Amino acid sequence: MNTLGASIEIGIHPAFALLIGGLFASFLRGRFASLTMVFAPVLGLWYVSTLEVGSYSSMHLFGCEIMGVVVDSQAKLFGYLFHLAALVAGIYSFHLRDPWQISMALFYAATAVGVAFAGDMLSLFLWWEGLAITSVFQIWSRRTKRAEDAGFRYLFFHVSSGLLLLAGILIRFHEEGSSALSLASLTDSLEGGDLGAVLILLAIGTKAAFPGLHVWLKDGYAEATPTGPVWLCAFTTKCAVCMLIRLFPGAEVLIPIGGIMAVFPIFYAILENDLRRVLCYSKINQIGFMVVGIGIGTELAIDGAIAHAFTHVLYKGLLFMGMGAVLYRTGEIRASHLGGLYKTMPWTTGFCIIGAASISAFPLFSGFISKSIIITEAARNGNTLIWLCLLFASAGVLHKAGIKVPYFAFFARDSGLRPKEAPINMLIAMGISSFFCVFLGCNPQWLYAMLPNQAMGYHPYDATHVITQLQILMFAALAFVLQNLKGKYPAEVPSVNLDVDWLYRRIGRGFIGFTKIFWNGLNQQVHALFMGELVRRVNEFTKSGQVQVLEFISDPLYSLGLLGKDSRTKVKFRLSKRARLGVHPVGLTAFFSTLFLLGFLLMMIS
Amino acid sequence: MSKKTRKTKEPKRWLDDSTNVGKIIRGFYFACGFVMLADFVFSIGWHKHAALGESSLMHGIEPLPFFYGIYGFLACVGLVHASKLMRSRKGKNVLMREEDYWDQ
Repeated sequence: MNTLGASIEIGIHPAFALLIGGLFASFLRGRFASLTMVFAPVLGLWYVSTLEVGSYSSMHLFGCEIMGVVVDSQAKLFGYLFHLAALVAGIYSFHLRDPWQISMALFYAATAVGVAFAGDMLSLFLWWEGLAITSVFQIWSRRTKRAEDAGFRYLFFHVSSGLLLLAGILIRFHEEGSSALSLASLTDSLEGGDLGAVLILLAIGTKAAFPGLHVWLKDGYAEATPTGPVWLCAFTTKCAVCMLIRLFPGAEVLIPIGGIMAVFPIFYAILENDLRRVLCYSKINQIGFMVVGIGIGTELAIDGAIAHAFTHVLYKGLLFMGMGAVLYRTGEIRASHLGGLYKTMPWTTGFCIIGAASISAFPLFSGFISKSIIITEAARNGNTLIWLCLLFASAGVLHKAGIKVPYFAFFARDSGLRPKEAPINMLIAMGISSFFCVFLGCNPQWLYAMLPNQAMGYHPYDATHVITQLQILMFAALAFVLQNLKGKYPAEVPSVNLDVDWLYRRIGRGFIGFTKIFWNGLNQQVHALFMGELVRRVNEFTKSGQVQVLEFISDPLYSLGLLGKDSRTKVKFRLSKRARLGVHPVGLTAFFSTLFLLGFLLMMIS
Repeated sequence: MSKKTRKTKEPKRWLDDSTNVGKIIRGFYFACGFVMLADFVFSIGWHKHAALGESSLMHGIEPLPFFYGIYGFLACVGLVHASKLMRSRKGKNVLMREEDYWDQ
């Protein structure tokens, strides 16, 4: 048990190394800042390896005991994963000289580690909010108007997720008291229709890119910096998967949700021209597999979901690194403007093909050892429709991420672009990820041994699995080859495709248009009424009032000979004009003032 | 970011030759045939275990030879056709819009 401090058990938090690294990176400059991206994850990785399963640390705050850290095998595995991902992304981003981006990246990784080790709902909420705020800087750091807007839309989703989580926690706390703060499974509460559990599921679902809540992913990642998605793809959605496993294992509603997530993005990915957006859609598709595994909820299926999260971070990071290198070198990421890059970027091409083989789950690559567990468990548990959906998704992912991404970027037609090979730091990072993709694909026992249930003795490399998987992939590829040769494959054209974002981006614009017309119109009307009409009338009234009074009293005064010897009409005209223009002689004004005061005093006395 | 275009005296690469691309495609066809043959031999000669349980409607269909190949092929043909329909139908855009659609 890690104990540090005086009276309460509190250990050094596993995210400490990354937090300190982020702090150093914020004031260091040049290569020294970049070095923190290498040292902090290595230090953190070592620290996680020293943590014993079952240890915890807690602290008292405002009369509540907050379980800051609870170490179990799942938390430890995600801890390894997040540090490894931070290390690879750190090496990949080593050329960066933007301390803001570097420090925020490390803080972002730290918050993800915090989520993985969170011991209760309160600490989860704090890290969850941190995750939202620190991650958006990977988008904003691109410093374009589009990135800025996309960052705000991204933030809107993630802050909403935090608020939903808080609302769910508070509702449950109100109903059940402090026992509601534990991170025990909420599956029964969810299936019993508990509102708090539903809100918590929605909060996690927003970060996990559930259907309809997914657009922040393809919107934000595609506008991020070249290095941004490498960080983004590793943490946010995996934190959501980690929390789904903790809070909703075996929740049946997750099975159809995961099935939809696995299938619908494929259609979009086929059409999409932006290759990073293609990867975003394939990311939703892969998370769909994990969500199905969590929904099935057997020990093996949960292990499959965790294993898939692990391998997914590596191969998806690798593909995003490949596309980031292309964007960094050419300034272009649209498939319609790329092609033939293998000639000058052979290493990037090779690494990208390894990533593509892994995501497609070719035997001997990492995707195969994790995806096959989930598909097998879906079949074993009698979910025939979901099993067919997952097979369809497996074939589809080969089309979009397995073939489309490397083919259109590095082969296809010759775009005429001859960029330099990716910088050495990027190649090293891609090399490390590629190594793990192949190593885990060939040695699944290394990953299985770390899983909470050691994969229940599952063996992916039996003849049926290998032959059926190869068959489905080869024939999916055959469909691509034949359609491409016959010109039936949809051409890559510069375009955008409407997604669910159409609803809120159109509604948002409509709302702004409505408020513009309504409030500006109201403002104009009120201005016209009060500032124009009312003031004018009051002005006229007050002016004409004194004219009338003067005209009224001028007759007796004229009769007394106090107003000169001019004709009565002339005197009246002169007085009226002066009253209108407000230029009475001082004596006259004083006279009337005295008269008014006398009248007032008389009234008071009477 | 650097964008370099160099069009003079570039060495010809192996893949630039269309006959070599043809060789790769032919090799791929052979690989497909080999996988089908392996599945056939394995289904007939050895025990190919069914993924689905006996209660499933597809329990009898799934272990048949070539099931996965045919399913994968048809899935992808259907996928591409459906995607094309999602993009545009009868010359009218359904989901596809100009690149600057959101900037307008």
